[in-house]
Amino acid sequence: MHQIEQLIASGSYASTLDAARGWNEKQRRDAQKWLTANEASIRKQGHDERGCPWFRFLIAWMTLARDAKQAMAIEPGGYGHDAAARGLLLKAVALRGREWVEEFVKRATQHRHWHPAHTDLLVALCAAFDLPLPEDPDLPKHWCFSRLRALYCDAYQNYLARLDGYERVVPRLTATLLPDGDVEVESANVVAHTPVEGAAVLVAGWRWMLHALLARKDGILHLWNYYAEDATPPEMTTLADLLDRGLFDRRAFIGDLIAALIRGDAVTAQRLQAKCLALAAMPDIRALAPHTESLLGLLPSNHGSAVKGELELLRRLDKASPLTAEQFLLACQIVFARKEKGLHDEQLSWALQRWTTLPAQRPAIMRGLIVALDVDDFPFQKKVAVAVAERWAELEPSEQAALCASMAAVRSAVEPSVYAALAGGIGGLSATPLAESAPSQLPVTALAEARPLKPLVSLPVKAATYKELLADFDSAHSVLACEQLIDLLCRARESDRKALAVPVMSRLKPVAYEHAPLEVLAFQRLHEIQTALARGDTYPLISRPSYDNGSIEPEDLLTRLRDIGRAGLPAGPMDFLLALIRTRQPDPQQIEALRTIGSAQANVAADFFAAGGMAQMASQWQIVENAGQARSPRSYLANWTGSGHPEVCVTLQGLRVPPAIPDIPMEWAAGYTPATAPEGADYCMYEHYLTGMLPNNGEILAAWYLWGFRKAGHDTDTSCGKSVALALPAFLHARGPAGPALHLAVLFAMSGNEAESRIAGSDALLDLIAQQRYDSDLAVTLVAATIDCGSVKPGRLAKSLAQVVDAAGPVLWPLLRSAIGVALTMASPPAGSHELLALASRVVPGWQIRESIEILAKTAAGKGSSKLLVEARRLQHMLAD
Amino acid sequence: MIEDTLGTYPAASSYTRLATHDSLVLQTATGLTPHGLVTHPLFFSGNLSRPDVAAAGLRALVEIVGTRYYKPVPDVVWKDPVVTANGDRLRCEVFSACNGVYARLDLLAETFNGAVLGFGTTNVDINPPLAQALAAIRAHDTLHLNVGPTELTLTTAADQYVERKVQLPERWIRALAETQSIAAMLGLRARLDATAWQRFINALPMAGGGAGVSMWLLPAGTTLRQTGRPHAEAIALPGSARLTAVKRLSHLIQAVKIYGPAIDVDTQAAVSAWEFFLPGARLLLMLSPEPYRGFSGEGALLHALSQAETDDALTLGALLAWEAAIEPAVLAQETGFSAERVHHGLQALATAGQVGFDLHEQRYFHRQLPYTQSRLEKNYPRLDAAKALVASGSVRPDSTHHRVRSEDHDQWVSFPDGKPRCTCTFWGKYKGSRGPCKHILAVQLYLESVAGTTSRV
Repeated sequence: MHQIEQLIASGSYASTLDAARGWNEKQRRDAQKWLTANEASIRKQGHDERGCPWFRFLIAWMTLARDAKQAMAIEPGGYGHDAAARGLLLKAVALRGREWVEEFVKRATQHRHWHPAHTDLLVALCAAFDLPLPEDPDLPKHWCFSRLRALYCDAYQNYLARLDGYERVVPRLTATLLPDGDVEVESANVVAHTPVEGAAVLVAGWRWMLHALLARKDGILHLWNYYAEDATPPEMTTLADLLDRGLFDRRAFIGDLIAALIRGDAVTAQRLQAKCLALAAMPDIRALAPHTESLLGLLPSNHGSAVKGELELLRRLDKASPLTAEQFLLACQIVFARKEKGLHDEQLSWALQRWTTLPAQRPAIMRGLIVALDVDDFPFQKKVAVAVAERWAELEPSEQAALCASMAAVRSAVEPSVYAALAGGIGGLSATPLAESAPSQLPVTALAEARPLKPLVSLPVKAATYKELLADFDSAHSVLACEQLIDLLCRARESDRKALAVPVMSRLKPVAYEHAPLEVLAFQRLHEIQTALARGDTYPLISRPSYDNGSIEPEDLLTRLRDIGRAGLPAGPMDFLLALIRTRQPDPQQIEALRTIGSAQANVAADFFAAGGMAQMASQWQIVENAGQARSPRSYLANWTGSGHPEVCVTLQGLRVPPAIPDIPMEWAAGYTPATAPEGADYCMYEHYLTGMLPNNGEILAAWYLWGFRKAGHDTDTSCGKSVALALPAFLHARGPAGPALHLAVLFAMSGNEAESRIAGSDALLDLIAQQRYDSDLAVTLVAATIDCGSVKPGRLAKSLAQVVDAAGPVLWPLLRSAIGVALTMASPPAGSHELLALASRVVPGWQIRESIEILAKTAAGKGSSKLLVEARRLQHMLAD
Repeated sequence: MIEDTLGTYPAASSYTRLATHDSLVLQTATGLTPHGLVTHPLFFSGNLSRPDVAAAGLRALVEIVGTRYYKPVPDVVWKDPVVTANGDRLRCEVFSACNGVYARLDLLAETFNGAVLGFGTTNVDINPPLAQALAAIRAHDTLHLNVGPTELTLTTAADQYVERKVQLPERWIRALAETQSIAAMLGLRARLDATAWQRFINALPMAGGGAGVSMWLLPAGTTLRQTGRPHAEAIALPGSARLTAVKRLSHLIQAVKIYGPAIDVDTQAAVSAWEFFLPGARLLLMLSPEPYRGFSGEGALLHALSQAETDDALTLGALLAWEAAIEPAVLAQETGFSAERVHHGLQALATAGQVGFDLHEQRYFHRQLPYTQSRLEKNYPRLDAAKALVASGSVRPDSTHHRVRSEDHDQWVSFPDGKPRCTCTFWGKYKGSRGPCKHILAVQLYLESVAGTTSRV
């Protein structure tokens, strides 16, 4: 008892460890008892100062603990910068032996107090005993942040821009197991004057951590997280330095990286792994020679940016130690089957380089070039064809004969003009068309007809019907199920009405958005119905739709107003308003018939429809010039006037004669200007309700939510695209003329950042055409204006149009021509303009278009061999052919 | 995990480069063969004609089994493929970690240079180091494949290898039965040649979360048009990124066939199957109707299980011996059953996981997993609940509906246009896409019991 007390009070770390190790079983038990009893009082004496009793306590505790579980029972607290304490604690644990340590590490990584505060200790133990990285992902993350990354960062985890006056205290902590069972520990606080010096101090931990992290999927991201995607993390320079100094085993590191790349991690991880591989292979590319096959195996599945690096490495390796003909051909087959055009160019350039340097492999290289002809990119095919034609004569006749068969095999994929030119340039190829070698043809699905409207049937008032409708509503939230339920409730017996009003109506309620006028109207109407039914009142439902999209036939409205007029039972104001905006515009006779009813509500309806009904809310498009700085709009207003660049938007005219219904909100009827346009981007879940509110005015719906469609085109958008995909089909299901808002919504969607948006846009364009609501002249003008303003991107538009051109046919030619025209007219044609030209070249022969486009002719006559120019010449040729 | 029956591996599967050739040993666990349960059966030992195809196919399976497409996570627990040797071909089946992608690699007779394979079903060990080594196998290599232990393995394994148990999760069992049942209902929707496939896949958006973009595809000239809405001729692509594993084989693909169920404009989601033709092999990927849905929960078997003709299935099952393509006509002749009865019997066997369906051949193949039908049925509490409802007399016919008293409330089941419909929340939410609810199942069981036994030939 006296011995342990004395050691803790005034001994040294080393003497504590030595003494405790030498005790017999009884002494150990007694000492443990004393330590347990006095833990609290010793802990109070502090943790951080040098030579404090608490560390002696911990060293003794670790040495005496029966097992790892007992060792974990004491919370260690921090132990600051005391290198001696750290080292002796490490030694105390390491001396317990492999099994004990294994259990200790396992428990420590799961223990909330041990981990992550003592990561250094755990890392040193794992490295010394060659234990696998503990499963807890926080361990490497914490080590990387607190140690490695901290060398390059300030206290706020920002990379240091300048290293003037750099000085860091770096803790070195390593344990080496000696053959006699002893453990040699090195623990010191080393002052580093550069991050590289610091990293060298940490090299043992880093070496082990790097190996362990590369063995884990996406593990490399723990090392270099949050760095700009295209930048090289500064730690990599240090890594290169450590590799050069031999502190890392270059071959083992390369092996780890190849294994990680084969696994196929996240894109960012792959990019980092490829960068590290390039770094490791920098001084001697031959180090990669044993991995040639594996590198080739990475080409099909790795991300394009990683493949770019891998291809570069293969190219360098090929220079130092040439690949076999089969290996190179495989690289060609894989790379030319990928979609990245940059990689195609790289591979072609490699092939041409090999042609000169490796004449013995020319047949295989030519085979690789023939594979390149399969790439679906006209300018590239043309380039390859020129390369093939130029080199063909350098092959032996027997080789030429063998290659002609390969050439014929890819013929169906080669642009006919390119193939014809090729056949003219080299002998042995047939230039006559081969019908049987045409690519597989699938039938083109006919343009879908407009989805027909289904009449809304009154269902029998039965308990089973309620349940069925509620189940339908829960699954689809459709206008149909919602309105049928309301209709059922209004026709129910008084007692049932009272009982069901609250539970049923509460299921139907949409969330009321303060700044979304249509949602407010929907909510207030439901509230009105629920209140009346809960009272047991008879509610004359006149807004019950005639069709499943919410539309009311004028005749139906006439009948209902006549019936309630006779009964002297006026409709609820919200229900009446909804009936008016839902009704298809009546003809003059029907308006006259409304007047003959004589009730106040019938007269209001007649006046409203006589003034034009909802058609009064006309939309007009305009370009808003935004010369000033971009500003943040208030949350509920769109950003048309503050985006900092010109925008194509619409103005929505208000109702000149709004329905004269007292005490209901009519802000929505005022319309808007670009400056006051609603934000409308956050489509709520109730786009079907919205269609049901304005079933004959898809144009007004689109106008209200236009900013949401515009936002889907932003490069950073990752959410609007999905909203657009939900809302656009519903808006199209609302009928009525399609004006600028609907056309703009479709164009914005087609140019969306997300695929969902572009697919919805393509579908909507086909719908507009099928419903005969597509206004070609308007679309032509709008596409020109939007491309000019930069809100529609030609590349994305071309991708979307490519999906529908076969189904839609020549009706889209004016739109395509206009888009091409404006893109070529711009001082610097926007990126992706050549894709529009390529698309036009694809469709023009089938559509039998022959015409002259001045700007195209001018562009085609220009000098150069950019993709834009090559495609412009091809289209010009086809239009003139 | 099913560990009790399947046991352990005698050693880790390995790939070794030798002086004269390369050696790939896929270790087997306990397998079912025509001779009953065999520990570590040997299905094949010989050279492969296209090692690169086998290696790339296995790598694609490894990628799928190690990927959670829905809500991806980096650390996925490794699972072992189920391998069936049908005498002339070897079929390896796996599911993705999210259970939403089923993949089957069929290595055909050409791959084995016409050599004879064994018969049986077991699991093989494919470990991460082996998966990495497969990347280095090329077409011109001479590769000796052992599916089963080598003599060397059996003599040295005990000293050097720490036994690893077979990793076959419970839900794979249900999913293996579900997928075959679903596959039998699919029809050919499109066929693309290598060029058309390349163009299609290169234009396919893959970004958008773990599973990528969900869409419908419509035939359009030389390719498939992407659309957001179902259509009579449409094919579902629920999660474009779930086809990513195929990229490993992109340069080997000769043609692609796409299968799907009949679609109409009201179809919310649908399954699709993609069959890739490779030199001497075929790879089938079946995608669940939505990325977040695993095959084990599809409920496609529920109706069939409720009607399973156990006796017929047993009779048919006894006649099967790991046939690569089961001929229903031959079975009909051997048993004296009608074609319809054989068809139902095979369906019942599929629900028991005893046969798989080969879309290309349009035939069932024998693949017997080492568990019984009762083990499968215990995974279907809905069916148990339906049987309990019938037994307690909770099903009562009404004028147009059937009223099912469940707990303290009623649900109404009707069959408008012959299609079932229920008023319960489960049916309202899924509309039958996860199989019938317990109320519909109960009414179906009730109607069958009322109508008496089904007429038989």
